[in-house]
This record gives sequence, C-alpha cells and structure tokens, in this order.
Amino acid sequence: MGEILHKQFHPQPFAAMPSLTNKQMAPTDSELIEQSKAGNVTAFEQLIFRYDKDVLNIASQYTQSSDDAKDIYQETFIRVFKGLPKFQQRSEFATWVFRIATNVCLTHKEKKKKMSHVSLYDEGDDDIPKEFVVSDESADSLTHGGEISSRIGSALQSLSPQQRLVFTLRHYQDYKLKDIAVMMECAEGTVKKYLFEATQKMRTHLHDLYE
Amino acid sequence: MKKEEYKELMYLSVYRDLTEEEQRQLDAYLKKHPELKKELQEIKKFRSFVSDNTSDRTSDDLLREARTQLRTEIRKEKTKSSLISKILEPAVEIFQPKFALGGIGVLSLGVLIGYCSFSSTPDMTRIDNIRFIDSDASDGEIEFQFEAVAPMRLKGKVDDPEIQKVLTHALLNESNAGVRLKTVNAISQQTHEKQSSDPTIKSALITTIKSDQNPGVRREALRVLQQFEFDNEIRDAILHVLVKDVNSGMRVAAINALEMARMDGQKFDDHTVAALKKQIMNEQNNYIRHRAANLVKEIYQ
Repeated sequence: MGEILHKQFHPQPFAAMPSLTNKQMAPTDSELIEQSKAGNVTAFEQLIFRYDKDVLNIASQYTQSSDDAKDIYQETFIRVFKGLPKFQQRSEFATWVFRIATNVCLTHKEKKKKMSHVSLYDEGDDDIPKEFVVSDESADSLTHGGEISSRIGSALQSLSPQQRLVFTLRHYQDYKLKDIAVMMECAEGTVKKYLFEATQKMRTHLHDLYE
Repeated sequence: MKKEEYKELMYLSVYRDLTEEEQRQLDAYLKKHPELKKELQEIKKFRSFVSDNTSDRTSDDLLREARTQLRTEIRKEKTKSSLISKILEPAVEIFQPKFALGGIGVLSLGVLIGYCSFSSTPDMTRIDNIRFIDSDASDGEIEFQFEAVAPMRLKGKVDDPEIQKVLTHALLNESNAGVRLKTVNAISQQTHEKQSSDPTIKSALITTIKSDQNPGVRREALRVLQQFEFDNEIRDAILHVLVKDVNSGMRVAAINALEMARMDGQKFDDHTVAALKKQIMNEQNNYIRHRAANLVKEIYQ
C-alpha cells in the first residue's frame, strides 16, 4: 500500500510553544522521531503538532462532538507516544498516525449525551418563568448554529462507523480514496462501497432540506 | 455492468473518484438513460448542500485544550514508564559479564554526574535524561547523551515578552500545581494595578481555567481573568466553566463572574442566555441552578 501525502503542515499557533527562526531549518519527521525516541518530549510535541490538527478535524467531524473529538485525539497520541519506541519508520509517520487515528475512531464509544431529568417546577422553583425551560436540542441549536447543521449531524450519526468515517475523510477532509484505503487498511473497492452507501443514506435523511 | 453499479459510479463521479475508463462507461450509460441525469444533478446538489452547511468545528481553542490535556497525559505516562525503566534496564545490563568494564565506567560517571547534579552550588548546571548510545567499553570508549540544564534567573515586568513566555510556559506545562498557582499570583499582582489586556497572558489564563487539573489553580486563574477587560473570549471561557467544570465551586465562581460583568454594564446575547438555560436544565446542584435562573431573569429585565 502507498503512503499518504500529507495535505498541509500547520504552524504552531501559540506563543508558549517553541518556534523556529528563519535561520534554522525545520527538522525532518525522521530526525524528530529519533530525538523523541531518545526521550526528548519537545521533539515529540514538535513532531505531533504537524499532524494533530488534522486528527482533531477528522475526530470532530466524525463524532460531531468536541468532547468525543478530544477523547479520540488523546487516545490517538497516547498510542503514538507509547508505540513510538517500536516504530521502525517502514511507513511514513503520517500514515502511521492516521492509521491509529482511524482505528481509534472506529472503536470509540461515544460519551452518553447528558440527559437531564430534573424538573425545576417539581422542586418548587415557581419563580422561574416557563420560557427558561428549554429542550437540550433547542439550546444546542442556538449554540452551534442552527437546525440544518444539527440535521446533518444526526444524518451522520445514522451511518455505520465505517460509512461515517469514509464520508468524513472523503467529503470533509478531501482525502483520496486510495489514501483512505491505506488509513483503514482495506481495499479501495471497499472504501468506494462505504462512500456510496453513506452518501445514499445521507441523501435519504436530508432530501427535504436540499431538494 | 448492472444498473446499481452505474448508480455507484454516479455517486463516485461527483467526488471525481472515477478512472477514465469508468467515467467513459458512465457517460455512455447516461446518454442511453437521460432520465438519470436529473439524479446526478441532485447528487451534486446534495454534495454542495452538505459542504455549505457544515461549520468548521475545530477551533484553535479546542486544539489548545486538546494539546494541554495531552501534555498532562504524556507527563503521567513518562512518570509511569521512566520509574521502572530507569531502575531495571541499566541494572540488568550492568550485571552481565561483558558489560562489567562498561559498568565500572558508568559507575564512575554516575558518581561524577551525581556530584555535578546534587552538589550544593546553586548555579551548577543540572544534568538529566542520560542515555547510553554505546555502553560497551571494550574498545576503551563509551558514548552517551544527556540534557544539561542551567538554572536561570529572570527579573522583569509581566508585560515583558521574555517574562510572558516563561510565565505562559509555566502556567501550561509546569507539573507542580504550586508553581502554577504562584505563576497565576504573579500575573495577578502585576495586572491588579492596571487593567491588563495582554492576549498571550489572557490566552494562557483561559486555557488554565478550562483545562488545569487543579481546581485551586483554575479558581485563581478565573479570578485574575476577571481583571481583564470583559470580551467574548472571556465570556465563552466563563460559560465553558459553568457548563463543563466538574467542580461546583468553580461553577459558582463562573456565575459570580457573569453577575459581576452584568453589574459592570455588560450586555449578554442569545448565546449566553442559551448556555445559561442549558445549565438550568442540566445542573444537578440546586443552588447553581437557582443562581443561573436568577441571572437569566436579570438579563431579561
């Protein structure tokens, strides 16, 4: 199987992180891997910060939840941290990271949505006006930008984990099918099948919104 | 090729994932079945619709939070693994006969390093993370690497960029909660005199109140953040604490912070009200729920 050509590098956006001056050449992944293996945590951070935004993007779109996305992010990079001493560089580092990330996505158990069974009125808070008591869904809609994206999120959740992951990687992240096949360690034909099924199901769920 | 297979090609063509041969086959099929062209247009429309209506959920803020949490986790992992490996691995190797000579070398080196590291001279360079690249002394040479850290003393104002760099680093990376708390206090003392608006410090404080493991540090960071000019970033950070912090004291502090802001004349928008309403629904603590409800009432008045 081929190697994933990483789409773009993300600069470190935070002042607290070490930055390179123009005079210094950015070390290669391979150099950073060796330094990380020797116990240099700064090198490890520099290495993973080249890819972590993409991983978080994938996780966010896949789960449609910031908390779940952060869980996937943590799990992925802790596995990378633990597995790095044994990483032989037979494949590209990026390929290895995204393989781990897709595995973590597929096995991730979503956090149960916080359900409230508390009735304010039952506890005698008669002074709280009724309009303050809103459904969780409507509050979410206000916070995250409307019914349409919430409907798209629900449609995504109706897909199987594989279908959802393929749809996320192809539609939102714009990865090529062959790259997705490398990440998911399956045949390209299988990826095509998942994409076809996912798009069909999504269309069925959302037809009233775009037709 | 069956009809269903052509349908699959139609979907893939929208993503430009067909080979030239597949595209040619599909084009020929569509010529024969023009009624399917409408469906192809609908699939294209669907693709644009989903793209146009998807928000980019990964903000720098979320990335910052994720990185801070990861640093904490890695720190824990490092502590766990290094304790075992540092004690066992060298011990096992050193007692093998072929490393006996190397062992003597290592021992001498250890004495030297120990002397360097722990002798009482306060400005002595500290040596850490020693790793042997070649511990076989049979050829008379050994090779190793280590990190030499010299203690530094820095004095200056909190708005000095060098000081800020160290403070933000300490706030976000220091494993000792006491040091993090002292860092927040240092920022507090400097910002107390004049209302600060430094974005680096503000950003570090926001990350701290959202993700520091220690509630005392979070609480202090929130208090200092209130000395900054209230804006949407600070408002969102306070709402984050109110909705997500597991510590009820922090949630009370968040409500207090919002109330203070309101009394200072801040106007709250639908976003804030929605978050408060959500909290009224989800909050298990009666007192906080009641305070949140009162705050919503006051905002509406």
